[in-house]
Amino acid sequence: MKTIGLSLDQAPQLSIPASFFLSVPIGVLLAGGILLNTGNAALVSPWMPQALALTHAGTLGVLAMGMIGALYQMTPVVAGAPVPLTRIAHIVHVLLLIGLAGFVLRLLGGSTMAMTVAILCLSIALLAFLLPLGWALLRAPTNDETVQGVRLAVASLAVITVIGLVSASGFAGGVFSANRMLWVQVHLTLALLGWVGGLIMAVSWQVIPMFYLTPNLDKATKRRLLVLLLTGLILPLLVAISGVGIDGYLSPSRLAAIAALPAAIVIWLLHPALTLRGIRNRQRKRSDASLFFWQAGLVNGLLMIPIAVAALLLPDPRWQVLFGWLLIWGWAATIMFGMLTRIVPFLVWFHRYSARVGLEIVPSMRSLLSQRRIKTVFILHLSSVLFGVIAIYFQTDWLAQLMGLLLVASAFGIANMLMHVLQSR
Amino acid sequence: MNQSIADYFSVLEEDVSRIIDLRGLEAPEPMVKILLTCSELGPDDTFVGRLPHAPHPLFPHLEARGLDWQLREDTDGSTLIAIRRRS
Repeated sequence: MKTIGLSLDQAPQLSIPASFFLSVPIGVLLAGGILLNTGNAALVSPWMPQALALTHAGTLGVLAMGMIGALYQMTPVVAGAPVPLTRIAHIVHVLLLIGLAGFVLRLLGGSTMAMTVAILCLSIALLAFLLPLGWALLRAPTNDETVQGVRLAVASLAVITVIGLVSASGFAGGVFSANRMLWVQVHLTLALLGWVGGLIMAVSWQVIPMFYLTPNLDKATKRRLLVLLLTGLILPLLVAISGVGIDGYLSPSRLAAIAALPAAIVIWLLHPALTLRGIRNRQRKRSDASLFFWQAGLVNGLLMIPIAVAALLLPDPRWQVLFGWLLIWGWAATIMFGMLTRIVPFLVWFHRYSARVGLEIVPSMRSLLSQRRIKTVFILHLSSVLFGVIAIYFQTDWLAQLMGLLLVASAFGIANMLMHVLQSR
Repeated sequence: MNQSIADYFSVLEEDVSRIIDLRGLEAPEPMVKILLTCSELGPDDTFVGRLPHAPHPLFPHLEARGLDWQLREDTDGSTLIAIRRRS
């Protein structure tokens, strides 16, 4: 008989994704701490160092931790290809944490040495993550749209790593490139639409039907979405490489932002609309608190294009701050927390109990994490997102610090939820 | 249809008539159902089930329990799995 698949020793140990997932609340805590420390300075303009620190606490500390942990676990499952050298995943994890700490420290007024250490650690960590993962993805026996989407996301991560590290060298005693704004625009586009958006979309094609019994999106639609996404990622890159704008009308960085429109339409319009429709038409309509995260995150996703247009056209910098806040915390983090409420119990159940099914009585996956715990985390997270919007509008220190406190509370809620599931025996 | 499945899996046509559709179950219920059913498989029995996609996490468990399996991916994206005891 044909035997396709993994052997037990090829599947990554639970400790690998778990260590990354447990760092997610640390990232949230760091973001809360930054707001408590800096007050409104982090919300005045997206170009303030404090705002960059807050942004990267969200992107590197929260999103990347969750996504990298998920990729170590999901690549063998979804693509049928084990990631080689998974033993170095713990080194990747530690280096990412040190890199993030150095990065934030420098942006909050620390020495240039902190950024030098950060650049070194992040370079090694991302290289040690990307090379084995890229190798597994390229050799994967499965080549469905989910795997193609994951490849696109990982390729985007590789490009943003290079742009990000070169840009960060300006904070490590180097000089900023003359085209800094243009390359930052490309970094943003590839990070948020390619890496984060591409991965959310590709993974949702797998996990939403699997966990919530929604209809599968047809292959032709998935392919069109991928082509449109790829177009919206390549065009801004071409604008940046050529460095051209439209004289008198558009600077190259604005042209690069507009060139990303096909990708933005896929990630913040078509994917949320199609996924929300799928959730509405799911086969078994039982109440599930983890779906609240998906629904809230996807609805937030639908707001992103109008807010992006406002941020691009209106002079008030609060639109840009609001765009970044809702994008990282309202859209991406909300969806990621929703994924964690299903993926972590699934992994714990799979690693600890699945081998005993049929041999003895084992707990169900749903019994590992109560709906009450999920709802508590949802309320804490949603409160922090909504309060963030208020704080950005009013621009006062005490509101920013209150926003930070809500993030701290949210971090403890997420940590408590994850620890509870991971300690199940 | 059943004839071609029987040919593909090299199983009896009557076994193919008992395809268990697991597509209406949330993960990990299909895996639970397969492992529970397969724990009672006799030496000549074959389990044939239809899943929404290839069940990669299941394979190590089948391997550990001395079960052989064969997959057929259909054009609608679903997967048929035939499982029997290793001879």
